[in-house]
Amino acid sequence: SKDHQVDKFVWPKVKPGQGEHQLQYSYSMWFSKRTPGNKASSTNYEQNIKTVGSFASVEQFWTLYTHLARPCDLTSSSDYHLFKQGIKPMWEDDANKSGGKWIVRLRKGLASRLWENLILAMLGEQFMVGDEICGAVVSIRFAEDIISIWNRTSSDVTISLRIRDTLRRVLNLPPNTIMEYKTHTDSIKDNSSFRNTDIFTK
Amino acid sequence: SPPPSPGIGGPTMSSSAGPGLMPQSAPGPPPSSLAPVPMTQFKLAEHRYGREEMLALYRKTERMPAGVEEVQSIAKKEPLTPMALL
Repeated sequence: SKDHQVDKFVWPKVKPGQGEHQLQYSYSMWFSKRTPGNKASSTNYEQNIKTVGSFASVEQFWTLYTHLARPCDLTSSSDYHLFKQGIKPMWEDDANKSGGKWIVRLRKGLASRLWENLILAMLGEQFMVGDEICGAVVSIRFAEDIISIWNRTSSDVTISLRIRDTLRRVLNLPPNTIMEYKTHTDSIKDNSSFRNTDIFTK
Repeated sequence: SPPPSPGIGGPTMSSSAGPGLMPQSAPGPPPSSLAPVPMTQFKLAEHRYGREEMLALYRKTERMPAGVEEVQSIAKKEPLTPMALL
């Protein structure tokens, strides 16, 4: 089955070191790079995504993060996915399947700084929506870069709006920035992360 | 109203890039006229850190985590300073 590889996946054990500052959740950082010309598919996706590290404390986060190339220095079709331990960065994961994501499209050159701001807010529990947040993604593409944050329950408008407003604040987005939301059910239907989104401007 | 952040959206965008490609002006009420959204109350997380607290806990660490070394295209032997501290 298409989940063959990922089913065998063993989550790395991770806990805060002595005297370190524990995060509310442990996280894994994933990296993916799509081979040019390869059509997106679930199987390709799983073959091209790998974990690069996990952490449970602020200190462990910094050690990992500072040894990774910045998003702006990645080649096109690369993504970093930072997800809570136990949640795979896939639409079909149990934690994601009823959820969706907010999307912000960026002009080239801004992704590194905004990605850092986003993940600091996520790790520090600044979204204040309980356990709704699943993870965050930065996607480097040819003409634009895209930042997104995934949550569990796409049907809850209150949660969704709080995430949107927090996202706007921590990224310091101008009030007229277009924010897009897409449910993972829709992404599965059109096999696309960033096409056919619901657009919000206000 | 707050000044726009530098660099996001802005006048250099060509409209030929297509709708929704980038932030752009949209008609509609200014944000200040929006009614506050009633919020479900969530219990605050036990381990919360503001941006400055996160940054204050940053220490340069030379040791590269094992999993990073395996992905050579993104591994940085010499650690990078957080963007916020540049």
